[in-house]
Amino acid sequence: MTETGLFSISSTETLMILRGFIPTVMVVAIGVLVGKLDDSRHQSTLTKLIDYVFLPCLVFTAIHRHPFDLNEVLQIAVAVTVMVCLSTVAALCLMRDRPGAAGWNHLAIIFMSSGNLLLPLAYVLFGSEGLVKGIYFHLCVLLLFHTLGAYLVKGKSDLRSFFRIPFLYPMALGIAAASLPLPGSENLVELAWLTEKGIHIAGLGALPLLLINFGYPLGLIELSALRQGLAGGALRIVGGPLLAFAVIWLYRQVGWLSMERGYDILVFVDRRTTEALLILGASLPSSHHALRMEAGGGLVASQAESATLLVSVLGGMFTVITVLFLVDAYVFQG
Amino acid sequence: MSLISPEMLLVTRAMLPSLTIALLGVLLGKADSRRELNQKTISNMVYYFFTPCLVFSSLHKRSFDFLEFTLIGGAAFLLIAVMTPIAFHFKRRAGVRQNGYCLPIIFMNTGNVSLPIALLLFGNDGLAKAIMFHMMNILILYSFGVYLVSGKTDFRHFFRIPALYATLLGVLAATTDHQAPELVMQGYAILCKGSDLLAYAAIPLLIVNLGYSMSTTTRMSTFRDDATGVFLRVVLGPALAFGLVILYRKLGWIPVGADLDPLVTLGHRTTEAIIILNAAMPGPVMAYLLNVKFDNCPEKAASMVALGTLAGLVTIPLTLHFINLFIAG
Repeated sequence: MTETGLFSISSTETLMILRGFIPTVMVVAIGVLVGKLDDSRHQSTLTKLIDYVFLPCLVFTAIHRHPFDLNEVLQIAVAVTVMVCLSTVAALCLMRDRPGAAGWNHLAIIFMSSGNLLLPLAYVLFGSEGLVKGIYFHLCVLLLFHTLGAYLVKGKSDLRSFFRIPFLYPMALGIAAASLPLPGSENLVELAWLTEKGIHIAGLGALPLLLINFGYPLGLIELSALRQGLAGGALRIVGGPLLAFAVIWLYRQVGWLSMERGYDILVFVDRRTTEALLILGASLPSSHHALRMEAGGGLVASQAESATLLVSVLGGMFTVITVLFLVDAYVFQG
Repeated sequence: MSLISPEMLLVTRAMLPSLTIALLGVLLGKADSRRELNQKTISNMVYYFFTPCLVFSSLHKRSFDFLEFTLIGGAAFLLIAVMTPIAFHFKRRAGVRQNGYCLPIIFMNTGNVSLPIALLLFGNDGLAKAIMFHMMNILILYSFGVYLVSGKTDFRHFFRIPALYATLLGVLAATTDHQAPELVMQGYAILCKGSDLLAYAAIPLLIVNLGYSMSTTTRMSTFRDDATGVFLRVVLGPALAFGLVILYRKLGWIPVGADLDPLVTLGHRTTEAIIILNAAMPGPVMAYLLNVKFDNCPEKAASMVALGTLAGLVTIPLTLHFINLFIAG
C-alpha cells in the first residue's frame, strides 16, 4: 500500500514487479515468434536441450548453494498437493458434462506451468532463494502429474516416467553437495569451483530457454477455439490463486508459516518468500506438459485443451501481475 | 618461467568454465546417437535473438571514449585486415573452398576469455580498453564476417544482420546522455532487463552446440590443416600485434618516454598490452555459429575453435610473458 493508493506506478515495489514480470512476458512473446518462424517445427530440439543440459545445470547450481531444509520442502509439498487435489475436484465437477471434455483437458486446468514459467519468474522476482523453492514446487507438481495426472488420463499412475526426469539426479547431487562436507585439497576445491562456474553459466541459460519453450507452441493454437477454453482457463488462473491464499491462511493459523518476526529477520523473510512463491505458482497458466506427454514433441492436443491453455495464458497476463501486487501488499507489506 | 606459471593458471581459470560447458555439449552429442538435435534451429535462435541481446547487453552499460576507441578499434581493424589475405592464402593452399574456414583465423574470441583476463591483470582500465577492442571485432565479424561466409554480394543483405543493429544500438546507448521522462527511462530499463534475460542463453547455447559438433569423430585427415589455421591465429596474431604496437610507437600514436606522467604511461602500456592480448586469442565461437547458419564448413570451424581454445592455454600465457618482458619491462 502506498500513500497514493493501493498501487502507484512509481513506487519501488511496483517497479520491481514490473521489471520482473514484463521482461518474462517479452521473452515468452519471442518464444511465440520462434515457434511461428520455425518451419521445421523442431521444438523437440529445444526441449531436449532444456531437459538434458540446461535445466539439470540450473537445478544443481541452485540447490547445492542452498542449505537443505526438509521443513521447507514439506511445506511446499503439502501446499502443492492440497492445491492440486482441490483443483482436481473442481475440474472434475466443472468439466463433467462439457462437450469435448476429456482427461487431457482436466490436466490443463489442474496443473500449472511450474517449470517453464515458474522457475524463471521465481528467479527474476525472488532471486536464488525463490528459485530453489520454485524447484521444489516444480518437483511436487511433476510427481503429482505422473501419478494423479496419469491416472486421470490413462487410468493408472506412471511413476516410472517420473524417475526418468533428468533433473532429479542433479537435484539429488546438489542436495548431497550442500549437505556433505567437501573433502580434498585447496586445488581440488578451486577446480570444483571453476567447473561449477561453467555449470552455473549453463544453468542461467535455462531461464530464457524455458520461457521460449513455453511460448513456442502458443502461436500454433487457433484463436477460433478460444471460447471452448474459457471456463477451464478461468478456473486455472482465478481458482488457483484463491486456493493458494486459502492454503497460506491455513498455514499461518496452524503456525507452519508463522507471522512472528522473532530474532532473525532472514527467517521471517524466507517464510514470506515461501508464501509468495506458493501463491505465484498457483496463479500461473496451464502447463502444456500434457501436450508432450501425448505426442512426444509436437502440438497434438484436443482443441479444448489447447483453448484452455491459451485462455489461461492470455488471462494470466493480467491475473498474474494482479496476484503479484496482492502478494506484495498482503504478504510482504502486510 | 615455470611450467605452470601464474599466467597459465589465470588463463586456465578463465577458460575452464567454457570448457565445462563444451564438455556438456560433447556428452549430449555422444548420448544423441541418432543425431535428433537440429543444430540449424539452435543456430537460428542464437543468431536472430540471443546474440543480438548479448551484444546489446554487453555494450550499452559501458562508458565510451571516441579517441581511445579510434586507437584500439583501429588496431583491431588493422589486425583483421592484415590477417584476411593470409587466411585466404592458407585456405587456398589447404584446398578448402568455403570462406567460412577463414573466420576462426581472421577473428578473435575477444569476449569470453579476453575480458576476464583483461580485468584481472589490468584492472578496470584494461577491461574498458578490452571492450573497445571487442566492439570493433564484433562489428566487423557481424558485417564483413557474415558477408564472407554467406557469399551474398547483395548489399541489402548487410542490413538484415540483427547483431549489427544491436552493436550500433549498444554503442549509441553507451554514448548518449540519457535525458528522458521518467516513464520512458523505466520502459528502457525494462527492455534492457528483457535483453539481459535473453542474453543469458547465448554463450552456453553456442558452446553446447559447439561441443555437440565436436562429439562426432574428429577427422584426423584435416587435423594438420586445422592445426595450421590455429597456429596462424594464436601465434601469428600476437606477432602481428607486436609489430603494430611498434608501428604505433614509431608514428607517435602511443607515446613512449621517460618524461611522461607515470599514470599516462601506465595507460599507454595498458593499451599496448590489451591490443597484443586480444590478438593472441583463439577463434571466436561465433565463427562456428555463422558457419552453421550459412551452411559453410561448421565441422572445420568447430575443430579450429576447439583446437585454438586448447592451444590458447599455452600460447596466451606465453604472450602475457612477452608482454611483461617487452611492454611492461
